[in-house]
Amino acid sequence: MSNLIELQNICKSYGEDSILSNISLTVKKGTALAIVGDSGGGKTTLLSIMGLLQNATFGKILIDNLDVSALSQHEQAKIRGKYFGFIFQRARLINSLTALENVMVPAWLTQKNKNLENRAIELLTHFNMQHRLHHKPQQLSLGQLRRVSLARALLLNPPILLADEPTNDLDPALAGSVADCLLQARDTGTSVVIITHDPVLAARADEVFNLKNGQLYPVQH
Amino acid sequence: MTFLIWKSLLHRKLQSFAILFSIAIGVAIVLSVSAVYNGVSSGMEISKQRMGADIVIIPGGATIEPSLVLFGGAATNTYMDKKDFDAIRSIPGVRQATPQFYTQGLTADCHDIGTNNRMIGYDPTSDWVVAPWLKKIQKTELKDNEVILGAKVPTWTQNKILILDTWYDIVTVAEETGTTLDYSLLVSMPEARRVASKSPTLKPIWEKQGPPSELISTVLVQFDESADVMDIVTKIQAVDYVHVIVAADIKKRINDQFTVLLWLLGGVGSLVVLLSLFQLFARFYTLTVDRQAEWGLYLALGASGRDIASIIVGEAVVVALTASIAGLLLGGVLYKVSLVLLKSYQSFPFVQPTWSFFATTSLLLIGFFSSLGALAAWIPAYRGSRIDPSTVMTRGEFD
Repeated sequence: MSNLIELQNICKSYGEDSILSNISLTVKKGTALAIVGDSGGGKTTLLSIMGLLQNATFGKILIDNLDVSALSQHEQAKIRGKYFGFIFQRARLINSLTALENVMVPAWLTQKNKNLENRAIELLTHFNMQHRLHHKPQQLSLGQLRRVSLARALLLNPPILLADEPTNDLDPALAGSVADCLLQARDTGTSVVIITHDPVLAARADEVFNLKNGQLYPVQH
Repeated sequence: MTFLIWKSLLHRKLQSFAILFSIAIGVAIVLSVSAVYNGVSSGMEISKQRMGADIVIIPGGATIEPSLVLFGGAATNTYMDKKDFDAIRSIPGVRQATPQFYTQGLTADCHDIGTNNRMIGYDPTSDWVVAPWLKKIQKTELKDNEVILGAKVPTWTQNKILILDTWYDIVTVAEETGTTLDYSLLVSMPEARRVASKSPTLKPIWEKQGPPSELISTVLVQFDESADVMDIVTKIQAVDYVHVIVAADIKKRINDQFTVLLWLLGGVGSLVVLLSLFQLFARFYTLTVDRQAEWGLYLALGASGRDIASIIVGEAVVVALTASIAGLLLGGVLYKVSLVLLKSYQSFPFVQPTWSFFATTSLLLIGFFSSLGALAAWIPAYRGSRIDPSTVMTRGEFD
């Protein structure tokens, strides 16, 4: 399997405070990778750097063998739109939009809205949300919000899904269903990177790493 | 992108409406003040060019605002002896003089004209005041069955008009003056006197002052350039108990009043525009702080900084554009109300602005306020475009 993302010697520090030090990591196509670790240990920062939401203090990021760390913000935005689907800790839906419209946002922002409404409906139906297509986020439960967020991340068939604690605050059954949806994405060649405290979810990933003291350690499972 | 802008504005209805309303008020004030200013300044300019009378003489007991007589051409049922005219005309320094005779207001009936309209007797042979407004110069005596119509006198036939059960031939129609002359029907002095003599409401006047054939309502005077105005006024006042209105004084007073009014309305309009600008700026500046997480989300989902700036500027322009259009409609209403007020106190000569004036002003206002909206959102947009996309990971709930 070919490499999709490659982090080379990534360091991140805020002034004197070092968060990540010398992290190298490879994500292969169609695999799921879980990163666990203590709260405040830098997991979300690492995910942000991987998703080009912030720059590393030092180090390189290669996506499809292209060094994207030196690109301009505008070019990085294009890469984000093309390669990544994000699932955030909170669902992060726009309150003024319906569930269906929220799923369509990436299409509108990247000008790829041709025939994607059908796909958005299919995804929401797949997540058993067909009866909530035109509901606003305020009218949805926590689990429904997560599923809308998941559908939004999958809409453009991104090669990489980055999920930040996707099962946080969910009951075990719902957490299991969200995990199923996430990991199913591997079947279509999508790579999945999951930040989690949930050992059950981590155990279902192909590889697991522990982020401790700014360093990444492989976990055998 | 347009959809996101639209949805966001609808989501914040009250905020959007508050800004929209304040801009609309600004646009409405600017439009109506501009239109009134244009109408009055055109009216004054035309009056200056064509108003030949240096002084207007009315009966001493007449209680009418002098400016109404001068600019408004307002007619009242007050009369003086027609011999006064000959006496005034013979005063040294008086170059020319012409009398007028005012009849009662015309009541409206089936095919008749409204109470705004009044029949005025004038003397075409000595007149130089009405003549410049006529499309067809009338320098001979009018026959008793002939009438010259003001620009706004309603007619149902092209050549004839029915006034108080009598048909008159229309000789010509005067150009719009912006004064009550526009609503007047000019007939010969004898005809005006004949009509007035039959009026039951004017009967007490004839009983007191004598038959209308011996009376006039006003004398319009133009004097030699080298004449001493005060000396002539003194001599006119010695002729009879009359009120002498000096045009130059009235014109200056009207001009001063109009200038004050213009500054007042213009000042209020400018303040409203300035407030709208600040409000727009404040709103969009606050947005960049309040909606950082939302912008961060858009950035994470593939939007660039430029896209965020476009959304912020787009929202501002949509609000400003909608407000401008609403303001134009509101301005039209405000303008109509101003016209009613001007009509009820017609000391300003007024000529209706042209459609091209309204079209040009409307386009300019739309362009100006939309640009103002874009300008007000410029700094917020710049800041919004520089937001760190990782804020989506760290910020609290969305608005």
